[in-house]
Amino acid sequence: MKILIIEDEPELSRNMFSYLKGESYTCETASDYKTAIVKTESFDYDCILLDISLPDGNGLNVLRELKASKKTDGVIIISAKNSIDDRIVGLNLGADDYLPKPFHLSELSARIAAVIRRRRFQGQSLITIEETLIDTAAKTVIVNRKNVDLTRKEYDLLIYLATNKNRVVSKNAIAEHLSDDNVDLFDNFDFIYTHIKNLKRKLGQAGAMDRIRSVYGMGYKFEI
Amino acid sequence: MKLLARSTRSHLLLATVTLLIAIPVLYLSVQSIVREDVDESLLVHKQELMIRMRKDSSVSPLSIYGFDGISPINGVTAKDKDQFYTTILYDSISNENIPYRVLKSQLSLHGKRYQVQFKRSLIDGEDLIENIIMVIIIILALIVSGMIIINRLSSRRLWTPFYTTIGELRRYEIEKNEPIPFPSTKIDEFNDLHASLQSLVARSQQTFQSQKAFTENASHEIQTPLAIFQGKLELLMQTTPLTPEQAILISDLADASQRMNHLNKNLLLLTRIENQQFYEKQPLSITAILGRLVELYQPQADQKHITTHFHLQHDVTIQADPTLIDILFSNLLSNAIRHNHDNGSIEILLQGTNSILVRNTGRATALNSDKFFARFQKDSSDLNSLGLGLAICRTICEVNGYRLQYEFREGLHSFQVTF
Repeated sequence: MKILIIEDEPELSRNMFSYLKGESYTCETASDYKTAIVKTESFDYDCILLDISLPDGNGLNVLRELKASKKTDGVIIISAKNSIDDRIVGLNLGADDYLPKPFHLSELSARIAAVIRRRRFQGQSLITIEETLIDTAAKTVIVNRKNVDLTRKEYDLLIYLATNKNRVVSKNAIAEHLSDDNVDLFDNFDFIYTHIKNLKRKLGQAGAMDRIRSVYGMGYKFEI
Repeated sequence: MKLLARSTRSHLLLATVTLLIAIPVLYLSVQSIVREDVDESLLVHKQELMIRMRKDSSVSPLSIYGFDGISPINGVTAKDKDQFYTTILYDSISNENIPYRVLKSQLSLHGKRYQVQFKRSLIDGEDLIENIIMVIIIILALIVSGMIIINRLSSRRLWTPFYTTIGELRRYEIEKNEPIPFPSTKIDEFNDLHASLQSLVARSQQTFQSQKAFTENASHEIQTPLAIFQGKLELLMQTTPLTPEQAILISDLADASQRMNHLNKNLLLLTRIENQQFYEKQPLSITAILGRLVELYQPQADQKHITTHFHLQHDVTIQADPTLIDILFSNLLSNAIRHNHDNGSIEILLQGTNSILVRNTGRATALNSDKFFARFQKDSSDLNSLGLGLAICRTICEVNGYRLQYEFREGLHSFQVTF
């Protein structure tokens, strides 16, 4: 799957590139508006990561061009501004998602996966990991043809870890992912531990293999 | 003391002193004039008598009516000198003591000398003096009070721009970034004052704005290196092999970067609220918002076995930006959990018709409310608290015109938001 990273800050671009490369995505980068326009005109991407503030132009114009030429690439706006206006304008222009800087790479990866799922399978996507089947449209988890009753948070956690499979997802990233907008639950990580424990127990009871592993207290990893 | 009272007071003092001196002086001078007049008329009386006696030698002073006292002086030649004095005599008709002016004089008739007394009642004169003084006092009082009133009125009119200026200064809010609409006057001093104030205000506004801009710019600029740092850490986490020792170091770094990140976000949020960048007002149900937040924070509360009582008798609807109201109450709620002890309790109540109270158990002493509404004033015992939460709450309340009050009573810390 092809991803275009439009970002003028080279180190940030490299971070995203390195992380996503390991996820079996094919990544390309563009560091300015001109390159971005050339690349988006010439190729199709599954997902475009678009920084709004580019040295030679507004990233939103790339989005406008894409929509004008009826391209169906998924677009996630990444912006340092986190201003509500940018978010609204971006989403109105047809962006699929908006991610304010700074973000966790695992969060980015999960968002990309979600965008691609929605685009590719018209919302009927199933994630299959061996005996575990996740229906992202119905938000249900099926193990050995049996429905596993998960809470909303446990489901979110599973999807998050599964879309970052074989990667260490830091506790901070999980905490932020499970928190609502504007609400911080970063106080302590006990609640993550509780959710992980419950999730592992429920999956285990349904007969799934234990794939969620704690990595030296740094974070968790969904191993396949 | 007020300016007007001050100027009036000196006027009043002058008027009082003048009156106190003027009245006795006036009294004495009028009295002496009246006396002189009476004395003259007594002398005239005496002259008349002497003329009559010269014309008609049969006239005996004793037979002339109207002489109040005449007695022969035997042998002794007293001085032939007129003597005036005042005395008080009892008048049996009007039944009162009446002052009289008396002229004692000597006359000779048929070779005999007599002592003659002429007297005249002073009662009319006294009345006259009283009336004159009365009229003068009234006139003086009218003049003085009139002057004071006129002075007051004109001072008030003169100082009106000054009072308007004070009012404008009192209403002035530096956050609004508007010049003060000082009234224009014809008086140079006031115009000078306004000009100086205007430039003072402009300078402080400029400082305030640049300080705000600095905070916002700094927060923006910090975001990129923070994002790079955080990303590198995540990539570092994926490297193999990784020893437990390294993992702990990375984990600590990740926590520190998360804290920086969080701090930066909150600073940015604070400047955004101050810059009024949240203006998407819409009707909001407080019950719905609080209900959602309570549910969201339930896991955290459960960890400390905190019981939450959430009950509003009726819903409160407000017009506000939903993001801000969310932040306001989630900060209050997370504080109520964070600063609570195990097995504590939190109550969320409706006070009156438009006031929400968040009350919780916690430390047994009252908090210093001056301090904790300021930035970076935090409870040092908790590393996760950033010291910005309540500053954000206060700012949200300020921009929306709500009142946020803290109270410590019966071991409960309560924060009350009045819409």
